[in-house]
This record gives sequence, structure tokens and C-alpha cells, in this order.
Amino acid sequence: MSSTFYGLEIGKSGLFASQKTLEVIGNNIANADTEGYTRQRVNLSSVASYGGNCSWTPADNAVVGCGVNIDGIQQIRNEYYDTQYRNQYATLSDLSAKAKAYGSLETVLNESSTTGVQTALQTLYDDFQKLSGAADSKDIRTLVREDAKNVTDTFQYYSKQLVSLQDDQDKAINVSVNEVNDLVDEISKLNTQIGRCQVNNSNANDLLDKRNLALDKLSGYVDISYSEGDNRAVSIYMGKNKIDASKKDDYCLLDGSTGTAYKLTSTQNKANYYGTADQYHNVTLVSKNGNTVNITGDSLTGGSLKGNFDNRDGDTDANPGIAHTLNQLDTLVRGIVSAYNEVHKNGYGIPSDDNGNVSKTNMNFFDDQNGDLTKVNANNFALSSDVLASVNNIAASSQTVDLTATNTQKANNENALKLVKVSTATNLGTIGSIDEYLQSMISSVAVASSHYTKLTSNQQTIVDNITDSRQETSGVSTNEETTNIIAAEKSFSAASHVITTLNDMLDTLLNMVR
Amino acid sequence: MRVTDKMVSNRFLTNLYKSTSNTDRYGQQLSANTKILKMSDDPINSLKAIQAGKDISAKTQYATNVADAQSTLTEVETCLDHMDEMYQRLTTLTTAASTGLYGSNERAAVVAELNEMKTELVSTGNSTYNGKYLFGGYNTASAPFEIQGDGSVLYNGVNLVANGADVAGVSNQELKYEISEGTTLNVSYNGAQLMGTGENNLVNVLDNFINTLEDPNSTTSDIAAFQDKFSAGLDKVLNMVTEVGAKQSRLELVANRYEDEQLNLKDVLSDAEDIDQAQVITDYKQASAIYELTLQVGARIIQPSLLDFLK
Repeated sequence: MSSTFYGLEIGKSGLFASQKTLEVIGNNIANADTEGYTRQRVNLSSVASYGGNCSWTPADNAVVGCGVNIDGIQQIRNEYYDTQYRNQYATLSDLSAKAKAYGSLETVLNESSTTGVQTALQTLYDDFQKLSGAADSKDIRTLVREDAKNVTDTFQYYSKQLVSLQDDQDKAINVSVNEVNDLVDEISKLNTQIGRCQVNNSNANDLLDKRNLALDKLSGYVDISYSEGDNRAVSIYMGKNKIDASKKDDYCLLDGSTGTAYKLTSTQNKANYYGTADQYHNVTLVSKNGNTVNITGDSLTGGSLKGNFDNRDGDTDANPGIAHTLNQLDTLVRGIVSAYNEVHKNGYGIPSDDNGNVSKTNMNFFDDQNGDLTKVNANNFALSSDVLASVNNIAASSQTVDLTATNTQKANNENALKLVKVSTATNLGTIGSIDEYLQSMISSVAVASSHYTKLTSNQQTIVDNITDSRQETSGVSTNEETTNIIAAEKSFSAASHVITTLNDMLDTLLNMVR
Repeated sequence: MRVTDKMVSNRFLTNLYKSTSNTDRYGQQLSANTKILKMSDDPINSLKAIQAGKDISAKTQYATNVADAQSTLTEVETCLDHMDEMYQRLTTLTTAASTGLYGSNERAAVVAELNEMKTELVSTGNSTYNGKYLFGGYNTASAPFEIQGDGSVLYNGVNLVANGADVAGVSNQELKYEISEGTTLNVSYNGAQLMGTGENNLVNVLDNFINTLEDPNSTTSDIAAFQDKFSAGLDKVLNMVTEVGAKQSRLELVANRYEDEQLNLKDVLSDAEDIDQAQVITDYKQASAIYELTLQVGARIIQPSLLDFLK
């Protein structure tokens, strides 16, 4: 024998369950497009006849369950996919930052069969050839000087553009540091809120979604490893030492148990490539152990911050970046300056009004920074003051030119022929041959750019696959939810029918006694 | 396997981006008429193209040098031919004068002609081509040969008859053109090579001949002695003519070679850089068709949902 209102209670629990289901479905559909949203599901379980909603236990075997209990609202999410996604996304951000930088680098260098430094140099070589055929022609000398100026201008332009690309990378570093700090702050706040929900035993699904989204974004800047501790508070470690138990505390961004966030600091106290002080940023972290740790490209294994560091600072063959290309450009300039000056010094100019009527010798063709070749670079690459002062100071002759003598030597082109030979020489100091060094520099940029583009595209496919898997588990399918609406709606109608019928039964019962 | 709305739309977008970027790339290749839009598109071919462009420019310059050298040598040959004629005339005069039939009147006539010839010789030595003096060694700006008041001829200020360091200084200046990498060609003769030095200097021999003719006591054998000198001089000029001829043939070969090389290099350049228009247009059409198809199919998949069909 059941109590009077037993059936009504069962019906009522059914109504509540259907109503909650409809609300959850509504939430899912409303958030179908929200970034980072995980679909939610109501967990229902049937209530046993003892305990649960009923407070007394009937002692017969015709017991019926007490209806449906709403256990909770669950997120359908696979944390394994999350970890995978964050690792791969960090790699993708690193590669994509490098691909972009090399793409810009390539656009600056813009070498083709008709443009760029090689063409400018070839024009200069051809001009020296012309000079060797007409050593006393003022027109040709002027042509040589103009085209040489073109070469120095091109190198200077390249150098400035490359430095500007470095500046961009530095700005990105500064901005990224701020972003990282903001995200860590946000995660820390969410930790607190989620912790409170845990204590209250209430539903923190939306907060969890927000935190996961923040972690996704963070993994785009630096590579992270994270774990949940008490009260579902997340601790975050970053960089290549993030899983090394002895070193990871130096790279802790957020300690979940104490709630302390360790901020990255970016200070503008690093000199730029040409030595101007306080142009670029150094990034440091005051760690959990109290040490101040330097963060550089080496400290990280992924994330766009690593990409930016490597782009800005990478100056070796193993770790090439913009600095490496600047290095090579400077080495090339030094090679050109020393090769041409060595030959030019042995020649004699033609005396004329604009050079004090002296057949000068021991002149540089390119400016050599007062003899200190280490100070010569692509940024200050220029013609020597002698050549700029007068085209007649271009030393084409191998002997003193004396316009008053009957044998003036004005058309002596011996030194000009030697200047021509510099273009094809293969034994020049550090660079070997000018053209070979230039071409190897250009092709290494082209190859690196093509390499990073391909890698980025492959990595993007990997990330897309993981995103797909995540979506498969956690994404909202409107068709599915619509079907569920029908089911929930019908179950709501059915439950209300049950209540109506029970109501009629009670009415009948009460009317019987009148 | 669950398939959610976002998965479908993500995949559609990824494929759309791919086909858009393909269509765009072919379009760019067609309008720029090159298959290398950036170096990284094809690093190897782009390096080939740069090297080919450089080589074409260098070879064009060499070809210009060769053409200049050929013109200069033609002019030199003309001058040498002129000298050849003079030597022939001198030989004839010597033969006639050494027969002993010439009296002082005839001798005076010969002397007059010889004086004219001397002037003509100096004038030939001062020939120019393209505004430059051909036979002055490094002195291309002013006339190298000058007749002095006393009848002696100075070459670039030096008397070639007197042996000495001065002569050595002017006799090894050669005008060289670079006709290919590392190879130079001497395109002219300097005054010392042209006229000879010391005793055998042509002007000196002429002067001696004039003196001998003017000396009423000179014998026919004295005059006949000059025959050998003039023959020797003629041989020398003929040698120079042969040399010039040989150089001209060589330059012809080199010029032809450069023509061929330039064509080859242009082929290499085109191969590295240029597109096969028919191929790219076909690819473009195909990519563009795929793009349209993607759009159509995508539109069909994305739009309908269960809600459309519920009553």
C-alpha cells in the first residue's frame, strides 16, 4: 500500500527532471557557437524506494521507485585531448611565428633575376669592365660611382629593414609577456571561484570552460604543463624544465595550492643589434624559489614567445634568426670592402680640379671606418670620402698620372683590370667569393622560409585533427539537441499527464465521500 | 562517431581556404608571368634564375668588349695597310734611286717625296678611333708623335732612336681589353712597336736615307743598302697585319660563342622562372572550378538542420 501522494511525488520528480533537461538543452543550443563551450548533460538516476525523495520505507514487495533524481549537470570533455591540443598548439604557434618572420625577411631581400643585391653588384662589376676599356672617361667613372652608391644604398636599406623586423619581434615579445601575465591572473581568479563552487558543491561548468579557454590561449604564448590540485585549482609550469622535478619550481607561473601567481617581467635594457643600448626587452621571472630566472628562446620549447625570441636573437647556423642574417650581411660587406680597398689602394687617380690636382694613391674605394674593419657593417657601408669627392679619384691606373708629361698614363687601365678580377675572385678572406657568399645567404633564407611554411602547414593539420576530436566529444550538435528537445518535451507531457490522471483519481476518491 | 555542426563548418572553411589559396596562387603566377613569386616557392630554381641573370649581364658586357676590340683592330689593320703601301713605295724608290741613273735633280725629287712620306708616317702614327689615339700606348688623349723643329720625331716625349730607360718606359704599354674572364687581349700597338726603336726606327732610317740621297758623294751601294732595311721593315708590318688578322678571327669565334652562350643562358633563365602558360591556365581553371564546387556543396551541407523538418 502506498501513501496518498506517492504517485504525485513521482510525477513531480519527472516534471523537474524534464524541465531541467530542457533548460540544459536550451543552454547547449544557446552556446552552440561559443568559443570553448563544452556541451552539458543532465545526469539522471532513478531513486530507490528507500532514501532519496521518500522519507519512509514501505515493508512490502510491491515497492516502486520514487521517481527520478537529478544527480548533476556534467560537462562532456576529454582531458587527454586538452593536453594534446595545448602541446601541439604551442608548437604551431612557435612555427607559425617563425614562418611569418621568414616570409617578411624574404620579402625584404626580394632577390630575383632582375632585382636585389646580386643585380646591383653585377651592374657594378659590369661598370668596372667598362672602366677597364676607357679608364680616362669621366662619364664612365661617374657611372661607376653612381652604381657603387646604389650597391651601398641597397645594403644599407636591407640592414635597416632587417633591424625593423627585429624591432617588430621585440614588440611582440613585450606584448606577449603582458598577455601571459593577464592570462595567468585570469586563471588564478577562476581557480578561486571554482574552489568556492567545489566547497559549496555547486556547478562550476561555465567557469571550467572559461579556465580551459584561458589555458588554451596561454599555450599559444608559452609551452605549459599544468595539473589540478585540491579544490580543482590548477598549477602551471612553463618552459623546457616544466616537468623536471628538480628545476620546475623555477619556472612556475601559478601555484594552485597557495594561489600565488608569478609574473614575467619585461625590461627594456637590452642593446639592439648595432649596439644602441636599452632598445630591446629582456624577460625575467622571479620564481617560486626566489631566484630571478632569465627567459630566452632556449628556456622554452614552444609557444609564439619562443618563436619571437629565436627570430630576434638567433645568430648561429644551428639557430638562425634575423640576427644571423644581419651577421651574414655584415660579413659580406666587410669582405667586399676589404677586397676592393686592397686593390684600389695600389692604384693612382687622375689629377683634376676637384681633387687638388694630385694623382692620389693609397685611397680606399669604400669607407673603412678609419681602418677598423670590425666597425664596418651593412648600416654604415658607404663610398670613401676620396671617391665621393671626385670621380677622378677612382684609381684605374697602375702608375702616377701626370697630365703635364707627354706620357700621361691617363688611359692606364691596369688597376681597373685588377678591380674587375675582384668580382670573380674565390680566395677572399672570410667570404671566399662575393657572389657565392651572397647566394648562399639568400638561399638559406629561402630554404628556411619554405621549410617553416611547410612545417606550419603540417602542424596546422595536426592541430585541426585534435580540434576535430575535441569537437566530436564536446561540441554541440543542433540536430542532436533538437532530437533531445522532442524527447524531453514528450517526457514532460507524459509526466504532466500522470499528475493530471492522479489528480482526477484523487478527485474521484474525495467526491465518493460527499 | 559524432559529427557536430562546428566540425562540419571548420572542415568546410579549411577546404575553402585551400582552394581559394590555390586559385589565388595560379592567378598571381599568370599575372606576374613567373612561377617564382617568392624565393621560398622554389629555392633551387630561384637561385638558378639569379645566377643566370647575373651571367647574362656579365656575358653581355664581355660581348660589348669583344665588339669594341674588333672595331679597334679593324682600324689598326687599316693603318697597317697604309704603312704597307708606304713601304712598297719606299722599296720602289730605293730600287729606282740605286740604279745610278739618278742625278741630283732626281734625287731632290725623291727627297721631297720622302719628306712628305715622313709627315704621312707621323700622321698615320697619330691615327684615332672613336676619339682616342690608337698608337700612343696609355696616352690616348693627345697625339703621341710630334715632329720637332730639328726634324726628329718624339713619341710621347721620348726620342725612340736614343737607347735608354726612357724608351723602355714607353715601349711596354699595351691597351688591353678583357674579352672573357681572366683573358685580356692586346688590341693595338704602341708607337715603339709600330715604328721600331734605336737604329731601326723607321723615322731614323728615313732620315738616314734622306741624308744619303742629299749627300752628293753617296754611292749606289749606299743607297742599295737601304733596300734590306726597308724589306725588313715591310716584313715587320706584314707580321703585324697577320697578327691582327689572327686576333680578328679569334674575336669572331669568341663573339659567336658569346651569342650561343647568351641564348643558352636565356633558356636556363626561362626554364627556371617562366611559367608554361597553357599548363598554368589549365590548373587555374581547375582550381577555380573546385572552388566553386566547394562553395556549392558546402552551402548544401551547412544549412539544413533538423529544425527545418520538424512540424
